[in-house]
Amino acid sequence: MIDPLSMLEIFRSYGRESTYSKLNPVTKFFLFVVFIIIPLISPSIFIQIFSLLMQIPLIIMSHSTNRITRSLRASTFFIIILIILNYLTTFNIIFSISMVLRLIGMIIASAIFMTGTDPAEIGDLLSKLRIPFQISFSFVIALRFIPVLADDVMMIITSQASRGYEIEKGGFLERVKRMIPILIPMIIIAIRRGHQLAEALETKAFGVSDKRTSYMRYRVNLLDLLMVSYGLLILIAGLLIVTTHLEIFPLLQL
Amino acid sequence: MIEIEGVTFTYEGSSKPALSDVNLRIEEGDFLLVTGLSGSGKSTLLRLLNGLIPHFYRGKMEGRVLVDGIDTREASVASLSKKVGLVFQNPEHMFFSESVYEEVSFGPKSLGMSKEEMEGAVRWALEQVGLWDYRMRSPWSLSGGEKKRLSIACVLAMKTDFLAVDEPTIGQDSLSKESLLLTFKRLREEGKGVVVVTHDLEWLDDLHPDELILLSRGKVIERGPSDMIFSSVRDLAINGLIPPCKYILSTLVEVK
Repeated sequence: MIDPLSMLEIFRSYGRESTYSKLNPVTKFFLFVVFIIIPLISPSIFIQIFSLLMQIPLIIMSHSTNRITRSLRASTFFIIILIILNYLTTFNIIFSISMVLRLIGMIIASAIFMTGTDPAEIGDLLSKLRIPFQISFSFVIALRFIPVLADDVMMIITSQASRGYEIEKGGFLERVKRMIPILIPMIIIAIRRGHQLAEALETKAFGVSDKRTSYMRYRVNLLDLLMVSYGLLILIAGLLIVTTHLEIFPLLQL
Repeated sequence: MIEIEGVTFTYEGSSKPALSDVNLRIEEGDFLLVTGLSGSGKSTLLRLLNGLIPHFYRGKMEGRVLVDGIDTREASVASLSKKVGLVFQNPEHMFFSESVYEEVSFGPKSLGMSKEEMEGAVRWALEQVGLWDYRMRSPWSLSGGEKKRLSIACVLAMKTDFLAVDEPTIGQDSLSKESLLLTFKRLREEGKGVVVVTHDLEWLDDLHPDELILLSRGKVIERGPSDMIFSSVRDLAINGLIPPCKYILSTLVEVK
């Protein structure tokens, strides 16, 4: 069964404080970059498993074990489809599994970063990286609206289900067609909300001054140093695995 | 008949139950109003009626809900929608058609009604809410009050035995409220089982419900004829609700 809401669960922030959420945003961003780079340095299944295993401490620190498990369970259908499609184009089952593990690893890294980091922190981080405020603000707003949009989708699905509509009826193409009563209200509501947001920003003098006041100060504590060291170690270990250990596991190579 | 038997429901991720040990029986022809402060469990109660809980909302559910003897856990929301129609707070969540007529015909089509039956149902539903003359207009071009009435028509056209409406007066002007009042009075005459959730007690009093249910923190704390509940101004005030003006005035006169 396809359950899009459970699949999106991975990106839903519950606003709960966790050891991970208290880290400096720069530390969190560094760890995020590490776990995006590691799966990309080699298509080997070994490196993908290594990357996933090394993310376990972060999953525990961010209190997202249940959410990630639930979301992956809901995505089982898509995972299987992806493996089959990969296999049909490459005829290499290990490569196909490896590609899917790479995708899962990167999704988990993004989910941990996005749900454990306040959008305002991400905005400050982007400002520190000298990204223009209007661009960083648009990005932050997009992140903030993910849960709002998810709530809208939930309301639309339940509204249509209450009118006797069965979304999961029929074959694949039929199911795609059956998404129309969900997609149209979703798009219209999103566009309307965009207009309302733009008007609200205008009334709050958005873009009047080039220089904005920032009052947030972030400290670097011992845990940040430990986590940065952990990230560096993972990166070095990943590079070592790629350059040396792959020869020991020839079957796990490309 | 809808029977809610000892239902306790806790949403996933929440430590407190949204509803605690709720028992309720709604028969065809009953006119029931549910009120309480925000977060008291009103909308959760509605979601139980057509099986949205537990099918769409995850959480821990104890007790059971029976619709004409069928346990909502064992029937799909689509099959329960033949018996219980649910109108949501925000009507825009359901609109996707080009015209009012098409929008209203969506439910009957989903239920597999014949063309003649569907046309009759759509006309009847639109006439009930006073929107028959608007049938060729886009749902998005209607005013807030008209949209709300259209969402009621969408569910009415499905010819369900029960109709549950969530907060019909939110964001409505006095004229729209009057139109809604007329619509509900007509439905009452039709003999449908109607459950209306609202915190607009002034408007609610004009409906003269058979029974009023007062919810607080997921529990039914008062139930009975609305006159009786509104007369206990003090109890309502303790629960953060302001009764209709005439009851406050009569209490003041009594005190004096």
